[in-house]
Amino acid sequence: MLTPSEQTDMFDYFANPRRFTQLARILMPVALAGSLVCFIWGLYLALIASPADYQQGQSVRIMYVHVPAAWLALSSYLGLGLAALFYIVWRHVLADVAARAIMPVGTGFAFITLVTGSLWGKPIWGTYWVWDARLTSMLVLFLFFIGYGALRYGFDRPERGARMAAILALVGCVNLPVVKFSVDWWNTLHQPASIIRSGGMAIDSSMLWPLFVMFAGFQLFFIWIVLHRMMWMLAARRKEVTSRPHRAPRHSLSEMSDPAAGGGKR
Amino acid sequence: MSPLSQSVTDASSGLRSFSAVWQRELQLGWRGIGDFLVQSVFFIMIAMLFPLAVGPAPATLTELAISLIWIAALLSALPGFDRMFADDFRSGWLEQVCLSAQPLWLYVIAKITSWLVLSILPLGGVLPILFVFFNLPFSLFFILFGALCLSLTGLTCLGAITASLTIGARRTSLLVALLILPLSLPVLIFGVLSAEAALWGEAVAPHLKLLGGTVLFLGVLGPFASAHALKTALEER
Repeated sequence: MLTPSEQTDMFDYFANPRRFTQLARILMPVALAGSLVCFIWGLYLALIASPADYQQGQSVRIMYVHVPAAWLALSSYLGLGLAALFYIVWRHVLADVAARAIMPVGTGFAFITLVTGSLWGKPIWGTYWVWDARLTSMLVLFLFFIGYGALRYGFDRPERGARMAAILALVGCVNLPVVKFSVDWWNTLHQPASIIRSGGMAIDSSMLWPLFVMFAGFQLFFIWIVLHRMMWMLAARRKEVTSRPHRAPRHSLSEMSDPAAGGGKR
Repeated sequence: MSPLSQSVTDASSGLRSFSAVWQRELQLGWRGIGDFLVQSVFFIMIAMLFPLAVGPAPATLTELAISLIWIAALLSALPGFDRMFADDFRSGWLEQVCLSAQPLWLYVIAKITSWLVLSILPLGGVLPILFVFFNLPFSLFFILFGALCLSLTGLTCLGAITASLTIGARRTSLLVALLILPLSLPVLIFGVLSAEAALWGEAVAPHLKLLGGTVLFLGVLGPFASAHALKTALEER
C-alpha cells in the first residue's frame, strides 16, 4: 500500500507533461504494433478459424467487433469521468487533455456498437432496431457523449468549456447508472421476453478466444489513439505557449484566424 | 457562547436568509408570471398536436394520454430553463450571493423551489383541460398531478444543473435541451409508469417510490452541481 504522500508523488510524477511525453513515446509504438498483431490474429480467428453458431449462423461473427466496441464505449465513459474528477480536484491540464482526447473516441465506439448491433439484429431479430434495454442505454450513452462535446465546444473561451464539461462529465457519471436502471425497469415491465436473446447461453472456448484477442486489439488501439491525440494536443499547446511572447498585439487578428492556436482568445 | 447555541444561531440566520432569498425569487418570478403562463399554454398546444397526428379515435387517445401529458410537460418546461440564472448572472446578483456568507447551494435550492411553485401551479390549472381532451377519469386527477409534480421536480433540478453549466455559451436553449433529455429518462419513465398503473388499476406505490427516490437523488445532486458550475462561471468570467 502506498501512503498518501507517496501517492501524490506518483501522481505528480506522471502528471508532469514532459515525463508523460517520454512515457507515451515508448508506449505508443508498442500499443500500435500490439493492436495490429491482435487485429490480424483476432480477425483470422474470428472470421476463418472459429465455427459458426448453431443458432445464429455466420452472423455471430459480428459479435467479435460488437462486444469489444461496447466495452470500450463504457470504459471511455469511465475514463472521461476519472479525467473530469482529476481536472476538477487538481486542475491539471493533462487530465483535461485526456478528456478531450477520449471524447470523440468514446463517441465513435458507441456509434460502432449501435451500428453493428442493429446489423446483427436484422437477421436475428428480424428488425434493425428493437427498444431493448441495452440498446436504449447505449443510445443514451451516445447522446450523452454528443451533449458533452456540444457543451465543451459551445463556449467562446476554451478553458470555460473545459471546466463546465468536466462538471457535466461528473454529473453524468453519477446519473447515467440511474438512467440505465430506469431503462431496465421500463423494458422488463413493458416488454416481456418476446425476443429470443442469446445473452443467456454460455460461450464455447472456440468463440471465447477470438473475442479475447479482438478485445486486446481494441484496447491497445484505444490506448494508442488516445495517447496519439493527447500528444498532438500537447504539441499544439506548446506551440501556442512558446509563440505567445513574440507576438505583437497587432498580430492578434491573424492569431484569431489560426484554429490551432485555440481561437486566439485567452 | 457555547458551540451548540452558536450553531443554532447559524442555522436560524441561515433560515432567515434562505426565506429572504426565497421571497425575492418568488416576487421576481411572480412579476414574470407571464412566461410561466405561456409555458402552460405551450403545454396544451403540444398535447393538442398528438390527436391531430395520431387520429381522433378516443380509445387510442386514452391509451396514449399519459405518455402525451408527460412528453408535453417535459417539452414545455425545456425552453424556460436557460433563463433560470441568466438575469442574476448579468445583473451581478449572483456575484453578491457568492460573496455573502450564505452558501451558494442554498440560493440554488431557493431558486429551484420557487421555480417549481411558479411552473407547477399554472400547469395544475390547465391539466383538467387535458383530462377532458383525452377522456381520462377525474378521480385520477390528484395521483396524476402528484406524479407529474414529482417528475417536474426532478426535471427542474436537472434544469438548474444544465442552466448553470451553459451560462455564457452560444445557443444556450438548444444546449440545455440536448443535455437534459438523456438525463431526464428516469423521471419520464417512472412518472409515466406510476400514472399508467393508476389508470389501469394496478399497484402505484412501487413506481411512485422509485420516482420519489430518483427525485431525492436529483434533489441532492442538483443544488451542489449547479452551485459548483455557477462558481466556475463566475471565476471564468
